[in-house]
Amino acid sequence: MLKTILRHGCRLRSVVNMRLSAPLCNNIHTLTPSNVQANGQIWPHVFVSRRTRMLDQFVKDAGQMRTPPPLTPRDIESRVLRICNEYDKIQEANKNKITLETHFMNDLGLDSLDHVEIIVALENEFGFEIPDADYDKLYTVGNVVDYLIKKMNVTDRPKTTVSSAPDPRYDDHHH
Amino acid sequence: MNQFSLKHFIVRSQALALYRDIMRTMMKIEDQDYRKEIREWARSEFHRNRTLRDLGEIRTQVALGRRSLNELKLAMRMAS
Repeated sequence: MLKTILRHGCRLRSVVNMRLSAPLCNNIHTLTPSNVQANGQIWPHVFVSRRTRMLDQFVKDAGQMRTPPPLTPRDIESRVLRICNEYDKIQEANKNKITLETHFMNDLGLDSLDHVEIIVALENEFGFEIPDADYDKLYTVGNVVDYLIKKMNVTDRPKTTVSSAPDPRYDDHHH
Repeated sequence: MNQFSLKHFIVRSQALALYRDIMRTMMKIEDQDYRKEIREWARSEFHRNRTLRDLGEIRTQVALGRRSLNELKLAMRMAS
């Protein structure tokens, strides 16, 4: 019988002289009714079933599976600007004045090596490699943003997300 | 007079490609201090040689840089 109890994930609790709360009482499967005494105390042992409570929590978490939010042009712009601001070779004076029109060499005084560093940092941020031939197109922040938008097929209207979140229409009947 | 020939342009592209590969490799390093070290090493090497004009010398330096990068990649693979 102990094997059956353990298989169902019940736990043996020693509750000598313990007063039990009402919600806990609902989950308790006692051996005999005579275990429960008049003032709510139970002696000597009760079997508390935690399995159903844990299962409920798992089902709830799985149903709210999260997918990353869809990319918008504004997201791309802010990420590019953030990467540019984090670049250590840019003077403090220029840091917060970077706009879409900013030219890496002419406005920020960077050289070709610095330019490579910035584009590689962007590759790292967005997770894909930019071919060497395209580096020549990316000398201004605006060009970078437009290029990324094109390469990642980002539209103004965010795409509908595909997720396994439960459809609220079927909450009342389970299959 | 055209100081820089097509060959110079090609060799310059190769140097930039080497720098790009070093930076991409550097991004894969988890340890931030080691990453900084690699970046400082690469910057100082390239800046030190930026005034070179002789094609042979530039090609030699680029080849040396490639070898260093290969050693770095090998060290990273062995460490992981």
